[in-house]
Amino acid sequence: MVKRILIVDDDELVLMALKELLKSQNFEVSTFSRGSEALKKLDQERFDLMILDIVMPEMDGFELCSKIREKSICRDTPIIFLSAKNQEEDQKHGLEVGATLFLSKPISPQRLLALIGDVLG
Amino acid sequence: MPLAFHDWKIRKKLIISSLFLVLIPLLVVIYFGLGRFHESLKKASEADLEHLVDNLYALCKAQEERLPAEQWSTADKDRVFRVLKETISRIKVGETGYAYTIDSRGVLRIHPAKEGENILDSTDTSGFQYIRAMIKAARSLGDGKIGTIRYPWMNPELGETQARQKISKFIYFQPWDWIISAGAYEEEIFRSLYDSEKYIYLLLFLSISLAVGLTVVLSNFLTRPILNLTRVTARMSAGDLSHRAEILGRDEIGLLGESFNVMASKIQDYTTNLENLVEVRTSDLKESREKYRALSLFLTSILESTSQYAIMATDVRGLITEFNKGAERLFGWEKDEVVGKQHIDLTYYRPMAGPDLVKDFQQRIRTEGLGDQEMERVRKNGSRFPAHSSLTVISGSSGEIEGFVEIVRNIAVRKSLEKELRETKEFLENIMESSVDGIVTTDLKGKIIYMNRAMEEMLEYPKTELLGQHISRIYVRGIQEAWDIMNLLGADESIEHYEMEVKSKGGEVLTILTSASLLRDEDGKVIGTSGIFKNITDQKRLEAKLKEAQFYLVEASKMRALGELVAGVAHELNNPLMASQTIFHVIMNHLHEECPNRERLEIIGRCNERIEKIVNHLREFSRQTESDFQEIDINLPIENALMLTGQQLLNHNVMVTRKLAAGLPKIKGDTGQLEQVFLNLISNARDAMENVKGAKEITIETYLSVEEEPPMVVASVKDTGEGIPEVILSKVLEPFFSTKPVGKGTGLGLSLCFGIVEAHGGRLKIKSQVGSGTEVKVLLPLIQKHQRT
Repeated sequence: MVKRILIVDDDELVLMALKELLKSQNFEVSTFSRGSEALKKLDQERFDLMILDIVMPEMDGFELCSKIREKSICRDTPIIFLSAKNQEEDQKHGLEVGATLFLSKPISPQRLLALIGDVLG
Repeated sequence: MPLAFHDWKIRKKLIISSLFLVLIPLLVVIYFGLGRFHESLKKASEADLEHLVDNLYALCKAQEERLPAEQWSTADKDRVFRVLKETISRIKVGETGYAYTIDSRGVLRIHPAKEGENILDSTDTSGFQYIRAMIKAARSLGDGKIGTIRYPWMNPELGETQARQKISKFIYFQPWDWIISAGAYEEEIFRSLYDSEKYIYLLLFLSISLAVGLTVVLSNFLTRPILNLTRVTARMSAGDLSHRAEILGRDEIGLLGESFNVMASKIQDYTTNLENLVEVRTSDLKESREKYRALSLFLTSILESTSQYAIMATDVRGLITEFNKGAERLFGWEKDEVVGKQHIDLTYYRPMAGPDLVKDFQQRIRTEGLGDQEMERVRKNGSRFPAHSSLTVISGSSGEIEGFVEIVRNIAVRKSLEKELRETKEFLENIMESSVDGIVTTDLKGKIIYMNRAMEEMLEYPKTELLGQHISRIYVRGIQEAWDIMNLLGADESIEHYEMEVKSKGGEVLTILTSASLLRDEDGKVIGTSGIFKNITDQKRLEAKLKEAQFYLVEASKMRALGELVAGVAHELNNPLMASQTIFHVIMNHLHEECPNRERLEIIGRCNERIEKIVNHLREFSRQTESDFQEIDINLPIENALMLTGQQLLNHNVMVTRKLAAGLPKIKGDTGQLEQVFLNLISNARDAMENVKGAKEITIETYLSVEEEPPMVVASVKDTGEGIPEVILSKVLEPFFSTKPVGKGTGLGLSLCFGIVEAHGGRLKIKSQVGSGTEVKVLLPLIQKHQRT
């Protein structure tokens, strides 16, 4: 069964690159550039993994993450923060709001795939 | 009128003294000699009488022996009587004297006129029974013994009217009971005697007359030249100079006369010239009198005109003899009150206690002749004033002290001025001495004549060691500095804030800010310089520290701003880089093995890697927080860094010397970040020695530096590389500055180190010399034991 991954990032290039990478690994990928759009989608569909950026307009990754965790169906879905932020407090904050993993950009595609593999089990 | 012997004329003196000399012996001879002569003549005359009676006695005795009287016949008796009578009557004594015999009954037996008469009771003219006395005396004398009787007698029969003294010699012829007697008037017996006496007196008179006459003549002879001289002198003194003394011989008086004549001639000469002489002398005298009058006037006017100076004179005992107007004014005494009446001592003030200045002063003047002294003097009203006295001895012609002249001046005003001046001086000196800046004055030659305490303390020289020394001695630049300052002063009169260096006694170099100016006397002549030396060494040091701190502050703020910028840039680069890397990965995964674009795409891959490296560096650079600081040993991150680079350094033939001190105080820091610092420093050192031909050596040393304030732990990384030129040295901390070839360094290494060290509260020190190497010191603060968190 094909795993479904939701990606939220305000950078189109990042979204496109990650979509290409993950699709090439046979993941079903949905990309959103705004948190609100992602939240709407989550009301309708279920995903196996969510990759969130932190620095985003309108709603940042932390807020988005907490809101996702508020949804009962998403409570156990793994969430990876993938952000240019690399400060420890950011990591700490991320884990507090319910993230499974905190990764800093840039990250090599091999490592990212390996970690995604780990998270998905 | 008693006239003194001295006043007698010489002639009189001679005569009288000669007379005394002649007459006294003469009179003595007369007195004694004539008396004796008279006596012996008298005796001789009397002896004649005695001789006569003795002869008659012998005659009688012879008759008796021939035929004693009992046997006489009448014839015999007649014959005997005849013989005897003839003999006796022949005897004449003087003119009227005669001899006779008488028996003891008083009957004259043989007598020129009265034979047979009894004259027993006859008396002399005075009534004395001289016959009886004679008979008695003869009988009592005995046979053959001659006796003498004198009596006054007058023979009226011979017409005598005056009794004369008669002398009779008698002898007793016992066989016949006869008394043989012979008598005569004394004057008759002594006639020859009297005659000789007359001759003697005549002779005496003649002798005395002759003596007196001769004395007078001699006196006249002796005194005549003197009198002559006297007469001539009297005439000369009366004005007649033509006379000359008569020269009578070559004796003393003659010589005197000659001398007198010479003198008289001279006097005559002088007298002749006297008129001219008098004229000349008169004009001289007039002139000198004029001069004397002028001088006297001058002196008097000095004496009286000066009311500022008391001029007084005293005799040798101190009695005031002169007292001018000034003295009256100064002492309050009138001249008439003191001159000849008061002693100078009354103007002196003699305190009971203490040394007697007045006595000492007077003693000094007596020995030295003159001198001055300041002392207190007393006015008439008893008030005192400070005075200056000049005292001079007035000496007599033979050098003995005749008196003193004293000039006294009231110096109360001067004294008070002096006091004021002294106080002002002390005041100024106090100011100068209390100044915290050094103050120095020099003379024209640059010799130090004054320096205050601050200067002394600044230079650590005792004042005595520098006074009189040349100022250049304390200048680091020596005499050149002194010249420079003098040139500036010569141009501008004064200089301000001139910076220079001096050296203390201990050799410490001090930075000084000098303000100096020329010193001038009242005529405007330059007499020296004065300078204020402000020690700005500490200020300079502080300034340097401040500059350093400022530099660090600027660097740090620069770093912070940069950090933010870099973080933003990194953040912005992250997304496209990640996208690029991801897409590259996807493309490469799907690319055909033989695709000719594979190699081209590889280039894109390397670009991505470079970008990633830069971005990582940037992220590290911007990640400088104290988030994970712990107590660590500085040696730990160094060991880690060496471990990581060890092999790499070996490959580059770099020798590593480790001098890591054990037991250093702990510091607070992030091991990872510090490891990054040392990795960077080691890597820089290695790169610096890349092209070095000789030995490549990295020395890593840790130690505690107590030179720093507060003490710090130091980690030093020293290489033997190319070194950094000085112009570049200030830029090496700038971000993106790199000396490495493009692509080899990001230019962020040292900036990053700086940032990390700064975040640890430490400092970086870089010391480099081109050709010999670079040393980078990381200084980190110790953990304070009671540090507040």
